[in-house]
Amino acid sequence: MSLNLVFHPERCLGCKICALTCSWQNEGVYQPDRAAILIEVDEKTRRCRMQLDRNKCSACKLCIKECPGKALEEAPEEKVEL
Amino acid sequence: MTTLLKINLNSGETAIEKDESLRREYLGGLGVNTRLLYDLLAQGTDPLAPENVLIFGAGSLTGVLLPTACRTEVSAKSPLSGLFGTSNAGGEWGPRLRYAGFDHLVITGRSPEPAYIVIDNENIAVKSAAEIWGKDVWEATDWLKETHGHDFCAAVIGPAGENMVRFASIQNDYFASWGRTGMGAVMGSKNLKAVIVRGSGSVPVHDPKGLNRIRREAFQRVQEDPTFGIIRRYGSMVGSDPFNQIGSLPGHNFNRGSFDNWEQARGRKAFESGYKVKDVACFSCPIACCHWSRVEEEGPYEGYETRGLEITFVLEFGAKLGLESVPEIFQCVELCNRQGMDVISAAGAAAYLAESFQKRAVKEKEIGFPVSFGDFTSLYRLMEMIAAREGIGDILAHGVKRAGEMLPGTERFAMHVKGVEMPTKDPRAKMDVWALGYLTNTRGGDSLRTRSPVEAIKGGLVDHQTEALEVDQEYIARLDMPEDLKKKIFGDPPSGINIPAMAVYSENLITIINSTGLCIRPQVLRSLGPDFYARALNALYGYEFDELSIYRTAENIYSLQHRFNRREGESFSSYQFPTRFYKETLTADGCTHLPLRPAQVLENIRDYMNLRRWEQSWDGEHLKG
Repeated sequence: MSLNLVFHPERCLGCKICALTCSWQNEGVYQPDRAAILIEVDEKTRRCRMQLDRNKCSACKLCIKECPGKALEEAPEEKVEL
Repeated sequence: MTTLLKINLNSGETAIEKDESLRREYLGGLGVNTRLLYDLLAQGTDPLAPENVLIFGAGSLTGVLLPTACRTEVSAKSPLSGLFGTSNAGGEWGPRLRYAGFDHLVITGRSPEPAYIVIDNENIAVKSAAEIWGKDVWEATDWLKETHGHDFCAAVIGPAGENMVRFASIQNDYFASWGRTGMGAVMGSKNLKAVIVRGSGSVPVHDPKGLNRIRREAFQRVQEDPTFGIIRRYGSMVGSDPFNQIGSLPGHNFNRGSFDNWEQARGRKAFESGYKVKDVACFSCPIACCHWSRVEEEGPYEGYETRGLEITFVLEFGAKLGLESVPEIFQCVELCNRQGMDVISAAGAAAYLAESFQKRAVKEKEIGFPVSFGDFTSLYRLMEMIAAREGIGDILAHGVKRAGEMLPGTERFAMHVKGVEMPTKDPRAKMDVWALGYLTNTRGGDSLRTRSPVEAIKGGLVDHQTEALEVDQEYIARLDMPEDLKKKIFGDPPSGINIPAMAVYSENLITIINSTGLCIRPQVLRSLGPDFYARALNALYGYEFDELSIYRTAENIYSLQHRFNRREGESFSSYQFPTRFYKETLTADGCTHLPLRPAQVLENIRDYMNLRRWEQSWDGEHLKG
């Protein structure tokens, strides 16, 4: 069970609150590298990229809920790329 | 348990020490830095000698999910003030230090050759910086990330730090700065170009359920605060218009309190509509008071992108130096970021020289070219010369206090307190809690560490000891602040803000914040008070703080900084503004601000000292007036 996420990089604040929430919920630690959702921020350009480890993701959707930039949303079924 | 990583650069030797009581007694971050610096530094040490101690201290809540819990304090004896030097920055550097297993990094000695430190979890190395010495901050940061990995966070000095410009900064991943009081010069004096860190561990949590509750409460409080939306929208630029409206800008080296076209060119709406393209946050911060900007207007800077705009940039380069063009202001910021210089002191030094030249105390031949307010080319060139210590830049690199002593007839243009260039606002416009902090703050002329949780830029003064209360009684009732202090500061029922008492409270609260590693900037964060921080530390570590015990601890930390400064020879007479503020009227559009009355300022200082119980430390000196 994993989420299908749509990521809006232009809205991503780069705060990594999604990753901290995820690692806490699923691994019991605050450590963004251990989250299923990984946010890479290029500090020089502030461009943000998101990767989701589908094997790790528990589909709890907390990353979507806690994102303060509204940069994440669940993909509607028909838009999922296979 | 606090874990200290100690590195002696004389030998490259490293040691790891664990301490049971330091955090409990000094909270972490700034507080632990204060204790360590007081104990490790001998009185009278030259700040640029190998014996100075440079301490990076992550906040004790840094690295866990609380709003803005990411900050790190860097402390050493300041080469600018000769007193307690300290500066704070956000980003991911501090969390990564903690994830690597360390809370504080204590650096002593001087490397025989340029070096940088690599902290890669438990693997510590001191490496040759031959490849990057002389490079600017961005070039060096690029090289470090390409060489070691982009998941390293980098604290880097630029040429200004290498050249020991007394107000050199340490840059934190390109745009963030440990800016004030010259910590970059201390790093340069140690032949230390950078400290890079990567950590994959985590901070152990004593009471996970308790911390969950506190996290939810804190995020809710911050995100539901009425100021949340406007801070997200404008960031610190929210203050740009009101500073002009009350005529408190530091325009042209504190000679002009306002500008006719300020809001059209440098106001918050001009920023939002003209440049802002994206909201940007520090690690773990839901507020996102930083932004990303792009220049769209035609001309030499079209397409230029950068982080910003910040109020400090427009106040320093826009007002103090009189630059009207935001793209030119961006260029000044980039210069400071790449050369590694504090924006406030660099602008202060350039403004001091511009006024000295304008008033014929310094001649063109001494500079090499004419300098004037509003002239980007000459002011930018001057700041380049400071970083390189070239020509008259070599004198300005000492800061305006020393420059004023070196260049005859210019001392009256040196706008500093205790050697540290004054930022932000002119105290003649409003001698409030914030302005009193310029004098009382342990790090000298400072705009950040005496900020009240009920600050209102456009609020008035009732009298010289009382600020008007601009929030309602319900807000005061909700404020996380010990009840007896509320009565002492606001009155019962609340009717105003006692300025000396609020200065003491604000400094103590900010000491807690800078020790635990949250951010002080958005005002909403200062609505989280001692009770919140006590409960957060208790949940994370199993301590038994309450709002009063944590507050008293902060008070002790602050007093220890004062004792440090007294040990270094700080005198009561240094609690003074430059003469201008007592002698000259400030002109501003539509109003004039009269000079400060020395007796009133002194009364506030004495009240402040009494509240701090510091008056005996002066041996009667303070009674001379």
